[in-house]
Amino acid sequence: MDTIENQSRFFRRKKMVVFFFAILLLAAILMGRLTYLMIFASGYYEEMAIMVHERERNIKAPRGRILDANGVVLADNITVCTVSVIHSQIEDPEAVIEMLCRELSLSEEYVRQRVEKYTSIERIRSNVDKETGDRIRSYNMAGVKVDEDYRRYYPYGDLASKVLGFTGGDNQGIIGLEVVYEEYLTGTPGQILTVTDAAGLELVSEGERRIEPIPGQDLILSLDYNIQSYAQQLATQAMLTKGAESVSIIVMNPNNGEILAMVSVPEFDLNDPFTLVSGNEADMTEQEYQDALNRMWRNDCINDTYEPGSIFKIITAAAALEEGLVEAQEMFHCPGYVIVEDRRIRCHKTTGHGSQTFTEAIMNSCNPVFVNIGLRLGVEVFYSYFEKFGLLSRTGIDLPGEAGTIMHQPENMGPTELATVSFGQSFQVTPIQLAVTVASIINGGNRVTPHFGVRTQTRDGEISEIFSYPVTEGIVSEETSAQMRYFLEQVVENGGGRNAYIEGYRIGGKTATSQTLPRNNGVYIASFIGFAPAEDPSVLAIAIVDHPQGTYYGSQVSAPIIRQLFENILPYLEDSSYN
Amino acid sequence: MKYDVIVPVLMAFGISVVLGPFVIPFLRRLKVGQTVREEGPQSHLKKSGTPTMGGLMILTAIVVTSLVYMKDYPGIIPILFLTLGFGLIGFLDDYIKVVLKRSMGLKAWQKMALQLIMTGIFAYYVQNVLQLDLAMKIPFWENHYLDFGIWNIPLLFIVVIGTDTGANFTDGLDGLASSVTVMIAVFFSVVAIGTESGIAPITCAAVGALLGFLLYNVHPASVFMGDTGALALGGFVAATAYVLQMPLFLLIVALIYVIEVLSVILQVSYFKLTHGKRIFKMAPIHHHFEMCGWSETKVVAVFSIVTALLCLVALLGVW
Repeated sequence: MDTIENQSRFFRRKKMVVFFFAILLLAAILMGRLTYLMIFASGYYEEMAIMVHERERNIKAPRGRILDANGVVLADNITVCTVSVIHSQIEDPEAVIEMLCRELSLSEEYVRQRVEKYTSIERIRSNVDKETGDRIRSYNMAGVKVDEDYRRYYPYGDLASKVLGFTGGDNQGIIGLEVVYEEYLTGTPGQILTVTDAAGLELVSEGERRIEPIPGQDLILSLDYNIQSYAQQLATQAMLTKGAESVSIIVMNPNNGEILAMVSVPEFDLNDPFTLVSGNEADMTEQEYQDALNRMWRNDCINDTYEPGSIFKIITAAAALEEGLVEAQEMFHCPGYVIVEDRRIRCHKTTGHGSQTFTEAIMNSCNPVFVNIGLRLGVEVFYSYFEKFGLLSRTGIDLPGEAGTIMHQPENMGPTELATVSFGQSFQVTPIQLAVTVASIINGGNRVTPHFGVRTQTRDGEISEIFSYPVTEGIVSEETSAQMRYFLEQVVENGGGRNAYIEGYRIGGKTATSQTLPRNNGVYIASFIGFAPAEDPSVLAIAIVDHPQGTYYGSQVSAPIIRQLFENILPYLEDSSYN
Repeated sequence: MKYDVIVPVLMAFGISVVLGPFVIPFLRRLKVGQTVREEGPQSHLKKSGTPTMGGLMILTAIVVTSLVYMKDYPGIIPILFLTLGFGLIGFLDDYIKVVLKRSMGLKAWQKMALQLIMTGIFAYYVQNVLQLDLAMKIPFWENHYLDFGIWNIPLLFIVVIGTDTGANFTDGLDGLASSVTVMIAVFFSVVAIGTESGIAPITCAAVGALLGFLLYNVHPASVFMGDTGALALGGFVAATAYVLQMPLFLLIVALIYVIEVLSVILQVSYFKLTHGKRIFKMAPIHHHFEMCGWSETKVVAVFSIVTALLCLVALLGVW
């Protein structure tokens, strides 16, 4: 063997052995360290996990409030707290359990289970009032976290419940104005910024920066708290005294469509929208419960249609006047009935009104006269006015779920259908549609868009946006409008609407008593529409009483409601800087 | 994003590239030439003399980069553990094979035992310390998991060791294992970034390390990664998949690994069953394509392209 070769092989071998052990040693040290970190230093991870959690939390923004025309707050926010525990940060578990049980009135078992659970963060209770939350925070116990959030609060409970609507678990609007104006009311959440954002974890040594949340816009409505409360009171009273199923009232400005009040009793408590007024949820199935809730939340003024009855004669008369087919002084005769095709349609005064002018016919609300007028118009022309007056389209009110008109197709309308339609039966409209159409006839011919939302503004009162709504002009001529105002003033002064008359005021209006289907079951809807001052109306109101017990005439049941309403609000409206 | 994505890639790449001119001659002087299998393709006999254990370059690059990020990104620790652990087993195997000149390296049972120990520690960690649910996300089916309860643990062993074996078999052509694995590492990096999982530094380090290594490993290779590299990469892929709760995705993105293993199993079983007949011209399957006339570079290119496409498809199914 060559010694030199052996020697070099030996050195080479030695080098390799050294190399091998060096790497092995390094690797072993590293593996050891890693194992240690992984198995024995697990508390380290908890911290990191929580910080990721914290980093991801947004700072909630308060929702915009809803205010009435005079600045009364109808929908507000209250601060609520969520109390949580972080297992790995708790230093004295027994003390934490004891305090939480006491402050939050929870069972020890419940709290203990959550405090001892081996997770990064565990929620104990949410929707805790601020006072209690602040108190819990003031104990300064390690591992206890109190976070703040906002919850919607309606100071007036059931006031305008079906108009305002309510919010859900994440403070998002579910029905009513809360959902229609969601975009404006929702604020922009703030953020906690850290040095390494996006995918990294925050470096504990660096401070936090906050981007403050931007509160939602406040929404200012045309609704008037005083008028709404009074109307709601009147409606509830009427419902109780007349034993009715429901009562609806709409009060609006006929010149610009602003709604001053909208009532659909029975209303519900906005702070507790999932509790049925009837209270027997326990006995219901899931589906029954949901149906009952939907019924409770339903706004009869816009979600449902009904047969308008004699109030619709206003539309028939206006159409006839526009066509020049009738004059105020024209004479008619009512024997108590009229025969159309093979049907005998009765007047409500079975003995007949005898001879009367057209003006008197309106005051008497005489059916045969209006059948006559309707037939003069004919299906085609009548239908075209239906369309022109906007009855076939929706009003465009800023609430969800507006129902459409249910009307015959012109090709299906024979003389009988035409006759019944002329006095407001055999088709259905929503109360708001009726109100807006009548308004367009008596205000000089302008069809306005009914609405609640007037403008939005910031928390400090700075105006952000003023809403504008479309108006269609030329619905009727000025002459027709003036003529109709005159007719309807006569109805209140000397005709069937005299229960709405108030000394010292000029009021116009029309009564209606319609029988619901199936006919002859004795269920009626009594309604009345009124406006004042008659010569230049600035307020229009309609009251609809569904299924009153006992007396059921619009003139007896509903006209007095409007009278009481006007008695109170007409002076109020004159006094305030309204309009 | 630059701090935990771009920096690790560049750092690992830099280390890997810089190590080349030092490590490769060193390995060559130690005569750690890979003894090429006699049973391999004839064309490969030229390769004796090319040093192996280049996996040390990859491992060093990944380890050093990970150490820098370990404190702020503790999520990478289990992945580093399994990568290094398996790399160590590979290193032992290489050393015995090449330096001590025993061509089969560690005995099969020894290798398996070591792998089981490493996997065991990893499994314990994931299950008991991280308390990570071992349920596996099902690709393309949001919010659905495949969960075998207690059997998830034996499954973990099978997946980890299987992936490792797959990586091992894939390391048979110049640049094959590196190219395929670099695609997989990119896939996991995208997922890591997208899910904000905090492990982007190590997946990106793997990308950088492999890209650097590829400079020396593409055909004609100046260095092979050896078992040191192959096993480490297998460990990396398996560990990353489990930390992200995505082992099922391995069936898509690491399909090449799967096919390589399957081809060997099928070939051997068929051979035994039919007393001498073969399905493939040679197994693992990359040799079969070579025997069909494909050049080495073509096989590597095709396998890489397939993996790239599969990774794109898998990305669609990530949730």
